[in-house]
Amino acid sequence: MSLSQGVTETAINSKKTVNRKKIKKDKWVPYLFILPSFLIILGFLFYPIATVFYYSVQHYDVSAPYYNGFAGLENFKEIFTTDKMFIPSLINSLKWVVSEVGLQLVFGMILALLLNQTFKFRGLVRAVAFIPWAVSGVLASTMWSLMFNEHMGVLNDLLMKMGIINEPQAFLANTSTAFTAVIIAELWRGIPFFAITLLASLSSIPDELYEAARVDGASRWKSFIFVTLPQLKNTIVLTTLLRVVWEFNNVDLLFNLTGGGPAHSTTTLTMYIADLAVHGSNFGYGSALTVVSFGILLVFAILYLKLSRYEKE
Amino acid sequence: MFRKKLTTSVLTLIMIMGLVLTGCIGEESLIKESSPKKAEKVKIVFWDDNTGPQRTPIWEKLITIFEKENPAIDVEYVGLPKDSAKAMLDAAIASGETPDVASVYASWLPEFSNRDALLPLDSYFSKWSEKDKINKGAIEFNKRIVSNQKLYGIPYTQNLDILWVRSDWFKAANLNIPETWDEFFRSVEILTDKSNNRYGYTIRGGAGGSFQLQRMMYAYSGIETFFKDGKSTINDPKHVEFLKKYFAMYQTYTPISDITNDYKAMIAGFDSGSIAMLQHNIGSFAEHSEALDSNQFQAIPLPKSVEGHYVAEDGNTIGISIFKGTKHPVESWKFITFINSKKAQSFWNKSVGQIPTNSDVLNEDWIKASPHIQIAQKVYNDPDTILFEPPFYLSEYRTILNTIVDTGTQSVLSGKITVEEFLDKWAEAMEESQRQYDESLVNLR
Repeated sequence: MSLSQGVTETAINSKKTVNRKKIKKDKWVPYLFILPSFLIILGFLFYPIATVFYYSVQHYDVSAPYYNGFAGLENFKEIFTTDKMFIPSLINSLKWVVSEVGLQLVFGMILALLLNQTFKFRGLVRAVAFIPWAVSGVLASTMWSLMFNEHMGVLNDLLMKMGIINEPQAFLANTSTAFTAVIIAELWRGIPFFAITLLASLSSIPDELYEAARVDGASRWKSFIFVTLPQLKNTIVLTTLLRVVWEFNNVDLLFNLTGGGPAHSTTTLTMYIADLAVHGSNFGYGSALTVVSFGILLVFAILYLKLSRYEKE
Repeated sequence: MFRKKLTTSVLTLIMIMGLVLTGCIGEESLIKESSPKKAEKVKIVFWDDNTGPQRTPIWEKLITIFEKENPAIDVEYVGLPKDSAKAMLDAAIASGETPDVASVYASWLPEFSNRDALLPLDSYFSKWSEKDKINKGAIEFNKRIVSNQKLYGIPYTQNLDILWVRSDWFKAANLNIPETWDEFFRSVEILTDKSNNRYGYTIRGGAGGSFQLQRMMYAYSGIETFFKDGKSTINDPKHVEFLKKYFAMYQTYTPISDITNDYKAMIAGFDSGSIAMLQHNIGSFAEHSEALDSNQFQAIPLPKSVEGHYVAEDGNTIGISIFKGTKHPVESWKFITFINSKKAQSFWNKSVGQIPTNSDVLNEDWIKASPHIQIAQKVYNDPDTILFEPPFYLSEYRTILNTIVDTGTQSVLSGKITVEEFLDKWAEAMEESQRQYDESLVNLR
């Protein structure tokens, strides 16, 4: 080996070492950047979730401190054997989720198809249609409770003027109408979510597909069934899955409009858990119920994605 | 070059994390952790149990005066909605994030002291020069109901459940103000005029209704004790008889929306001119007087029991308590003594319309000029009045009322269960809680 060769090799080797060091350093810099987010998620998400699992196997009732301590699976045993509220509240949850997600999807689809057309002031109409989504839960609850009000509610006024009812109805105070009333209020708030996401997907469907369908003599309805729906499939699957989880866990509107009443007629599982915590101070049992509802949602999500063949053509 | 970039990145990260963390920790904790320098103000946090347009300004004014008199102390006011105040304090105790001082109902003291959340005030109180002016009965009651017989709250106001009635409607109907329960039920019937959206009465079927219901039941029956030979008197035949009459009024003489009525909705019904009679306490005087003229409404005692005497719930007071987590017990106590001073108690109780516990205030002219306070004093000063004492010492007492009784009331009103089933379930829960309490005492020994 000549001297010049040796020098060149040494130079190359030292350059490689420098590069390796740089790569080594570059490797952990990104982690440094995501560290704050990771720490926040760890503190504000994983820790509370772990706490719920911990308390689910504890007796932790602040108003009955004598029995606080390790419970093992007793809380779960109570849920499935002696709790008279668990099954009715779960049934209410199912009714709530199916009606909400189903109706929101149908009306959201109709709204998205309408807003996808070209017409004057389309931007303004779109903005107005999405407003309910931006309204906070407490504000929406207050608004709807005033609208449903027996003495001064606009709904009673309209229905009486139209001759549909003869005397004012207390929609939220009647066990036969309360659930429907709350469903309507939540429907108003939830439709824009589907409309927004479906509209975004509708805009990305190539016009060529519709042109091809037209050439083949497909009607508007057939175009919708064989072009639009397959193209929207993934969006529909994902949005309905997200919405099911959200609606299952939804509590703000129920809590503020009816508090789960009258006589538990609007008590969903989540409302029941919230009531146990807020009024019952029984955090151990409430945590066990939360774990059960987490399990229900997890099983549903896995099955739903499998059965809907998400992202599979 | 790279090192420079890295240094900048690390510094930026540290800054961001610093901001995030201080945001998370909060100003309060930072103050708590730093020992105040001489020139620095000490901040104490005060939680009010009943925020709203009537009461919040009263507290704010008092706090302004207190801060002027004590320039080294800064009081931060936090108002809690009446119906969720207890739950918020529960959560604060559970998480160890309690305020320094709070307005606390006497009935909350047993549970809070059991949870070791409050600071005993005996040593502070015994050294206080004005201690003899504070209602002795109320002080003794607060000691009696807690398991270790210590003083955890200094009562600044006393209350009484009464009936608010539309005196102008009674006059127009040529009806006498009811003095017996039969007259009460008859008046409700006569004053109902659905075509004009007028109802004789309103039931609080929503949050907090159970406490009022219990007071009505014992006011009717005249039963003196909550437990008799280990059995609860809740499902006594007299209470069954009363509730059958009481709940029968629903929808016929009361609005259908009563089933979900909370405090605000119930008061709004009376103040907006839809309700002839309302059962609440003298503390809602401010709300009524803002909405109605003084000649339109008045307070009357709950009718005498079937045994012929008034019944009042003992310990119907609200006090100020110091939480154990405070870093500033001295300043907190200073705030308590100020709120219980003649000047502050006079202003607070006069504005709200309740009974002061400071004897100096009881002699003031406004007391004599307040008919509703005169009514309350008439009941309290009647030698035959029975002071009924609910089992506040049971830490589950409020939970049972909130969960079993509130929802049970709705179930009876909607026809899902009978009055008997409702009262049996209530009594059963109380007896079970008493049994657990007795067991815990045995275990302590």
